[in-house]
Amino acid sequence: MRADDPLQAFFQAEETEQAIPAVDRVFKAELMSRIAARRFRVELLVRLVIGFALAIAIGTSLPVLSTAILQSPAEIGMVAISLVASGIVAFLGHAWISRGGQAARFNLF
Amino acid sequence: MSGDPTDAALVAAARSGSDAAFSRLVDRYQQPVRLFLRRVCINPADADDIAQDAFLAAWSKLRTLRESEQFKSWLFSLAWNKARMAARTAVRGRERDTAWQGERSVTAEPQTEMAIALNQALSQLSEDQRAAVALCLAGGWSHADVARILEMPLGTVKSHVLRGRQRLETILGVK
Repeated sequence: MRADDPLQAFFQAEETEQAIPAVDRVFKAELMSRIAARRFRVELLVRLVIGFALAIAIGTSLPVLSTAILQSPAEIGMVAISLVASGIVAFLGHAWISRGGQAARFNLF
Repeated sequence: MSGDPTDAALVAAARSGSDAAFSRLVDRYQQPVRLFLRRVCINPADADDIAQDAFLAAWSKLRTLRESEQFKSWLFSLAWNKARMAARTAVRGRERDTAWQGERSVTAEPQTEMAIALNQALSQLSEDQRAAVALCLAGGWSHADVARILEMPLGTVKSHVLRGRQRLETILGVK
C-alpha cells in the first residue's frame, strides 16, 4: 500500500481501535495450556496403545516361551528369562529417555 | 539461541519439542493473525478463539510444514481455513444466508468514526474480497503470498484486491 493511500488512514485507525498488544500473556498462556492438555492426551493414548500391544505380544508368545523354557535345562531357562527381562527393561528405558518431542508428530485429536 | 532467531530456527526447535520456541512464534505472530481474523470473521468476537485454534493446529501440524521459513504464510493459511470453517458453521447453524454481513455490524463495536466506517465498508465485501483486502492492503502482503495463503489463483487475488479497493474507496468516499 502506498504511503499516501487514502485507505491507509482507515486501516490504521481500525488497528489502533483493536488494541491488540504486541505480546499478549493471557492469550499465550491460554494457548500453551491447551497445547499441554493436547500433548497429555496424545501421550496417554500412545502409552495405552503401546501397553495394549505389549500385553497382546506377551500373551500370544507366553505359551511358546513357557514350553521352550520348560523343555530346556533349568540353567538355560533361567538365563533365557534373565536375558528377555533385561532386554525388555533396556528397551523400555531407551524409549522413555528418547521420548522428548515425539508427541508433537501425532495429530490424534 | 541468539537474540532474534529466524522463524526457521524456531520451527526447528519447536519440532524437536521446545515449547519455548513455539511460544516465541506465538509472541511474534499473534497480533497480525488476530488482526487479520478480526477483519475477516463473521463475528469479530470469535476471532481470538479462531486464532487460538489456528495456533493449536500449527503446533499439531508443525512436522508437515515443508519450508520452515514459510511459517508465517502457512500460519495465516491455517487461520484463514479456520475462519472459513467457522463462517460455514455459523451460517449453517443460524440458517441465514446474510449472517456474514449482519453479524459484523452488530457485534463489532469500534469507537472512532473511521473505524466504524471501515468496519461497515468491509462488511459490504465478499468473504474472499475481504480476506484479500485485509492481507494486501492492510497487512502489506504481496499478491503472490496472498494467493498462496488463500489458495487462490494469482489473477483472482489481484481482481479481489482491485475490486475490493474500488468498493472501499467508493463507500468511504475517498476516491
